[in-house]
Amino acid sequence: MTTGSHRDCNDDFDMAPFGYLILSPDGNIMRVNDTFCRYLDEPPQGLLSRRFRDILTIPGRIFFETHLAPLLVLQSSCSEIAFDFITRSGGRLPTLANIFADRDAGGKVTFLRVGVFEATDRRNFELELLEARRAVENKNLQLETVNLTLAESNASLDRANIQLKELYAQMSAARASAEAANRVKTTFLAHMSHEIRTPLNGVLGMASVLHEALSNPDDKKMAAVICESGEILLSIINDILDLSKLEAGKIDLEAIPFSPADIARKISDLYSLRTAEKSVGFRMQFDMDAHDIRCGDPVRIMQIMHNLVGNAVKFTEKGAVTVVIRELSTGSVKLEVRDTGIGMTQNQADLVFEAFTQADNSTTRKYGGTGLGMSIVRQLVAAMEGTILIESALGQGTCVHVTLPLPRVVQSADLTPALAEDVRHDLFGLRVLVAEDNKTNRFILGAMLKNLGVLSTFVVDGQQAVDAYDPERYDMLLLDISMPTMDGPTALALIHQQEAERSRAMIPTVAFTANALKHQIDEYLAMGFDTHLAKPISKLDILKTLGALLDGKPSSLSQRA
Amino acid sequence: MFFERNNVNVRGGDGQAIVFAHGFGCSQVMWRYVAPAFEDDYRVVLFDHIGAGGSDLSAYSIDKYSSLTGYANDLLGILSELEIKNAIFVGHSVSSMIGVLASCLSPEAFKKLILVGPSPRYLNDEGYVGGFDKSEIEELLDFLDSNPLGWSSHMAPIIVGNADRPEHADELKNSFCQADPQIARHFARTIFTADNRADLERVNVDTLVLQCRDDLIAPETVGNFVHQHIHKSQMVLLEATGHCPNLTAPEELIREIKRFLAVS
Repeated sequence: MTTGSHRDCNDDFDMAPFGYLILSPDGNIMRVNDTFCRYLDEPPQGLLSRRFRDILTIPGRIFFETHLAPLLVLQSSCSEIAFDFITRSGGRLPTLANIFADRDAGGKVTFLRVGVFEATDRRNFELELLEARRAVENKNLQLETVNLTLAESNASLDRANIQLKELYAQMSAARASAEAANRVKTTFLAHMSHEIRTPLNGVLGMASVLHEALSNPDDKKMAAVICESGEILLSIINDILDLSKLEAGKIDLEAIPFSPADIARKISDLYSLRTAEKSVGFRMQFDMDAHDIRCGDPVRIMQIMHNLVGNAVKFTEKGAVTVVIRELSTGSVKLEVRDTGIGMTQNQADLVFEAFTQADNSTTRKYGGTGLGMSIVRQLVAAMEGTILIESALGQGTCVHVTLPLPRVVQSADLTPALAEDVRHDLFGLRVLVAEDNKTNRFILGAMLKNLGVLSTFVVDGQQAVDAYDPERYDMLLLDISMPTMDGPTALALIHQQEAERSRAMIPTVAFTANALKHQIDEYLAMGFDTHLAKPISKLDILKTLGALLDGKPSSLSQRA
Repeated sequence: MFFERNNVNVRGGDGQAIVFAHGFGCSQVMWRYVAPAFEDDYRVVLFDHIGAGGSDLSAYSIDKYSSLTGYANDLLGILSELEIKNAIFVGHSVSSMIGVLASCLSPEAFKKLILVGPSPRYLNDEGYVGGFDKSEIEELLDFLDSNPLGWSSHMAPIIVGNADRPEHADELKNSFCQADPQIARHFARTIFTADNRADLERVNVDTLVLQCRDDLIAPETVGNFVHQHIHKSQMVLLEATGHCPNLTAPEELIREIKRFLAVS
């Protein structure tokens, strides 16, 4: 307890928890505490009189000379200097040092005081921090590379996208142009069919009238040849039109109830006669319920049957043609047409569905035909979602198998207006007002109506029809659609309005036109026509259509509410 | 352009220009006890190298400053911008070599060179003592690489990743030798791996070599080498010790410079 203050100060100096040195202005170690000696594992004598810079590693020495010495002159102190000291064994001791320059009254540096903290941990932490930061920078660099790659991928995707869009635009343009071309083609065909049918109607109609008017058998035969040739020409035109519409996907299939038995009967009636003429046998095997009613397009199914059976008869010189109509277990209807005719090689059979192709050119010369029949059949079957298969052997015959998924309709059997033959055959005394601008059509229709005992009055345009309309004088009105001055639909609308004002009921009206595509017929019915009569006309058509109208059921296949 | 980038300060009259270039470790503040002594008779030009003091740190380029020629071009740019020819150049430490290179590139720009503590090569070589072994220079560069805060965090104006320490700016106000740790590291590499011995013989202006005693960075043998290889040179061995006589012995430095300039 007798220790003096000087002793206390020395104790404090030596026992301080950090290294402490006092240096001369030129850097000689003048005093050092125990803590610093312990840091360097040196006795005080080992350090005293040495130069401070000599116990520093090279970086510390360079810093001392280049930075610290000027700093101490300029600002007298510097803190947290990262010094590494060299220990007695040659090891490195990382420290943080604070240095302070003491000056005398004249400002001259008298000595330097150095405080040293051992900083191994802190320097290690700093190093770890540095490494962590470098790792982050490295990751960032990698991320940037990934970003760059992604950006490049994006750019190439964008390019691909642009190319796709361009391609799509090109395809759309090509498609639009193809569709436009197709519309032009369809319109052209519809137009041409009208243009061709109208004069043909004249030829056929007049030939028919001529045939009936002639009495000399030779003359009659000549007129008959004109009629037959005209019918063939008409069927060829119909085939071409059908195929065009089928290929353009423009065919309108009906979905109405019909009787397969009816079809079988008609085919049987027609072809048993034809085969008898060739001394070829004909057998119709109908293996379905006679009252079965199916939903489909009976006209088109008849067209298929005509083509198949017609071909079979055409190419068979001996033996027989057999038609089988039966129901498959799936409920579909199977049509089978078998012949014992000339048959085909596999190559020929492969080509049979191609348009304008027959087994070979000589076939056309020998058997005639357009070569469109089987193409039409295939397209019709496809449109009805059916299948078709041909088996054939050269010299032995051919068998065509058609399967059509025609749904069964549960209703009574007599709802088959299209094919029913119960039309009135007696139109005698019927008074008809007809508006038709074409002179030939007027002549033909007039001759046929006269032949049927119908009393007809002709006008040449819609306006005259409106003026002449009188339900007291006429039982029926036939209006051509396209007429100069006023067309048929306008005339009908005026008459409807006029009769409504007079509170009078309309007499039955018939659209009389060559424009008989399904959507066109639907339009006429929507306008208020009761039915339509297609050009070219036949007496049978007139009988059916006008007869049905008098019976109160339109003959048009289109259903009206 | 250079005027701003290099924090150029021009003082004194319109007479003969004298340019002071600082060395490794500080900035133009190193000349605060020397330069004023010339302001009466000379046009005094002071500047900071890019990366030091008040220079524009964003102008630093690893490529350009990977050799001392980059700094020499800056010096010539400053002289050109100030329309100075026949300058008296005073370069300390590494700037003495920057002056040597600039005078080789553009001899008409300089009238006299005064080299304080010059060294054309710090690394020892066969038949040449630069003062440092290769391993010692590698240790220096390793130390700087592994110390993110440099010599002292209190000297670093910009510390990457510590931008959220605004209080640090106050600590810096008291530090004259700020240095961005990354730039200081690169500058050290450029300096301590340079070899400009061959350039000395191309110097064709009157040169004064001022050599300190007991200078660890540029020992006497190196000063002698410089003197021997610049043919129009003379050398004075100062009484001053250490590497920075401009701070530790400014009077002696001023006296020797004026003595040299007095002889035309």
